[in-house]
Amino acid sequence: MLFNSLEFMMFFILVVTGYFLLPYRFRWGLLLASSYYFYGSWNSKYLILIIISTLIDYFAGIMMGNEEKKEKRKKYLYLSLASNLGMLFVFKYFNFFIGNVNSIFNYIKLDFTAPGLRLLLPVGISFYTFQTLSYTFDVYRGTREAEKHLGIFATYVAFFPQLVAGPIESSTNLLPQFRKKTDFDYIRMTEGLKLMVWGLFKKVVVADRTALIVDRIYNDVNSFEGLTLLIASVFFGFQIYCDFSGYSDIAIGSAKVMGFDLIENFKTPYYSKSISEFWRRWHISLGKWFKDYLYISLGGNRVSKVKFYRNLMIVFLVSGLWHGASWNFVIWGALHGIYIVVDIYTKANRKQFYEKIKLTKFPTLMKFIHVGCTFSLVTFSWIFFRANTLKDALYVITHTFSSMESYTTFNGIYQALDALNAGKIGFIITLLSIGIMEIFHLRSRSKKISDVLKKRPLYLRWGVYYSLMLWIIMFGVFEGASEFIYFQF
Amino acid sequence: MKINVKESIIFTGIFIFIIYSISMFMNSKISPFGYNEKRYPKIQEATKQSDLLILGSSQAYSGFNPRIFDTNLGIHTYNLGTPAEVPVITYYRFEEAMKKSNPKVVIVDIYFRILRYDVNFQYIPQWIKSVSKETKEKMLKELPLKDRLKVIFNITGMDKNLSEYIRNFAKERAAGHKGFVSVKTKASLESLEEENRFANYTFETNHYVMKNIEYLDKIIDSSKKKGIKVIFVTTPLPKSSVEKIENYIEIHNFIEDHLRKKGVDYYDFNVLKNPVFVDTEDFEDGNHLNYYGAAKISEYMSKEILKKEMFE
Repeated sequence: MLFNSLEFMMFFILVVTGYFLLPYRFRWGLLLASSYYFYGSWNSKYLILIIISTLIDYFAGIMMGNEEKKEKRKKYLYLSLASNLGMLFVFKYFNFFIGNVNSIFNYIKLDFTAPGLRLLLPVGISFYTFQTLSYTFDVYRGTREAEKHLGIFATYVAFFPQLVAGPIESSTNLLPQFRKKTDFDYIRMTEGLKLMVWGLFKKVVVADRTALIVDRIYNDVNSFEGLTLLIASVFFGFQIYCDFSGYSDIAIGSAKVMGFDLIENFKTPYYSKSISEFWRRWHISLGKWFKDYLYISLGGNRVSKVKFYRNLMIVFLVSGLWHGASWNFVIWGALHGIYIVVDIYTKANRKQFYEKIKLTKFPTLMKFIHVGCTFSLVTFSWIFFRANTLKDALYVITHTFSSMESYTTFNGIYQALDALNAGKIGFIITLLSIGIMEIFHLRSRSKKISDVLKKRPLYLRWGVYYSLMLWIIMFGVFEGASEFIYFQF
Repeated sequence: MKINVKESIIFTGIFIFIIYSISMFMNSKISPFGYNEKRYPKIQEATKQSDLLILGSSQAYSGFNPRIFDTNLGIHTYNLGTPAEVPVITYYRFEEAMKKSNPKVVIVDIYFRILRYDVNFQYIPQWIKSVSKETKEKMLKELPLKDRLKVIFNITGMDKNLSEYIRNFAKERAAGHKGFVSVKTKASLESLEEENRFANYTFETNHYVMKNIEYLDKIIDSSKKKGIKVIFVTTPLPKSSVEKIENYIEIHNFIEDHLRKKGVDYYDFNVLKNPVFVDTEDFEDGNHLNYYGAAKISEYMSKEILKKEMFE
């Protein structure tokens, strides 16, 4: 059941109505049942995994709660780690691992092929395993007490708004909210609905429209070159941002309607002035997870410089692998690791350089250059993320600027645009939609757009809402509602 | 809380009104198949006096010229084809036409791809414009609820509608003599190769929408009951298109076997051994005949009807 489907709309209305009609003590039951129904709508067999993961972590949590000494709690932490990461390995990484082993066998001319597994990757497995692991880590560290109510714990693991693509919620933020007594609040509901509409705009208008172009080019990269490839790569930047942040907005908005506050997952990341800033504003919940449970465990920045850089590289390599079992994702992660290491390593020198060339006297220009450079570096890394194979990624990199005619002559530009095969109207609507989104982003950088609108007269507020909803209906892509990219992770 | 409920109702009400108004406007003014809309009132009138009716999708309305049938056979022919018409819809339009006229022969065009399509809401507004309220209700029932809502609030996919409108406007299609819609534009070999919509095309015969086959049978059974002779025809595709469809023969055999069992004639111009020589210049694009191609097919079919003495 996709957020951008009529089925979800009906499901959500029913759940919200039932939620506020039920007495507080039964609400977790409704949320758990509806969350399992939501997840089971993809494949009911997936439910077995989520239930196993829930039971093991619930048990591990309870057992850790009974042990006073950290040392004694360790074995239960290992149990949780082994079961969750083991499950993730079998379903997500086993075939990648076997594929690489077979490549080595082949390289050393060993006549043996290890068999792979024919398993379907359960939707959102990386998200809920990380969420439930955050709970066992927190109980192990003593940051929170073990949750004794199995039903509430199961609801925390499977909470439908953020189950399949986050935000990855820490147990300290989300779990207590299931015990909170929440009454229906009209203002909060409208705030949540507005966020859902905004998320839907990003998904069905911007992400799905750009996807039409990106997929066409990236599924047949060898047929294109020059500006066409550049446009597809830049569009993919918008596609993935709108797809994922759109999902997060719908998730946060739908949770808000029911009285839950989820962590903000994106803060206009493409306006970042450095890669470090980008990662503070992109997929914030995953960044926080890696910081809290991996980076700090490795020693964080309280180690020697070499180890500090090593820690950063490890975090980004694991982050790449978290996204997908392929070398493309590993390279993508490694690139970001290198970007950050270089960013930190050269920070002082760059500052000196800017002062020397007097760029610091022009802060707006400096900001513009920084944002442009960060966006270009991120876009470059997306090539590995989106390309179907490593070979395709290398083709895109080597052919994006191979035909300068497509950038410098009118005819070349026309042909490059024509090769996108997006249709004139379709292409203009896509650009306009990106423009609308960026106007909203710029208006909401210092203040939330809803707060900006609150002070405006009713006709203007409603005009904005109507225009946005009409734009979604008129120019959104609805035929065969497409899945969110991050579901595969 | 009371004020909030009032506000919600007003907000929703205004929004529904806006969508409905835009939908009405779009349906009447900026509908993609403008040239078809001009045909429909004439269709309603002309079917009353038709001896031969032609049904099917765009391959039908661009592939059969009624004037040629009329001249060769001394009869009244009308072309009722509508865009992307699937057999489910063809059946309802056939039944509708039978209420008004009493033809002796009906030609049903089978474009092989439509056997794989479900009833598509995108075209429903077009189909329902050419039928009575009663048939319209029957057609709408073939759609899932969400698609039925889309028909009422038909403002989704506006970029495609606008593009299609501009494209059709630029093409200046003939609004059609007796339902025939055609252009005199001739395709070039290069354009057919370049824009080939069947490139990388796979069509698995087990992916037929069986409901479409059932409705072909319904047309046959209903015709037999009414004493009407029905002929099924697949108009030709350019050679460059057929070559791209790997299992075309398999598709042809499936349809032919089925229709043979039902005891009706079937002419597939993509398989028949050169009954009519169609060249690249007889096509408008990769899957539609132009005016000249339609003339060749219409000449051939009218002679076949004459040979088989269908109007005797």
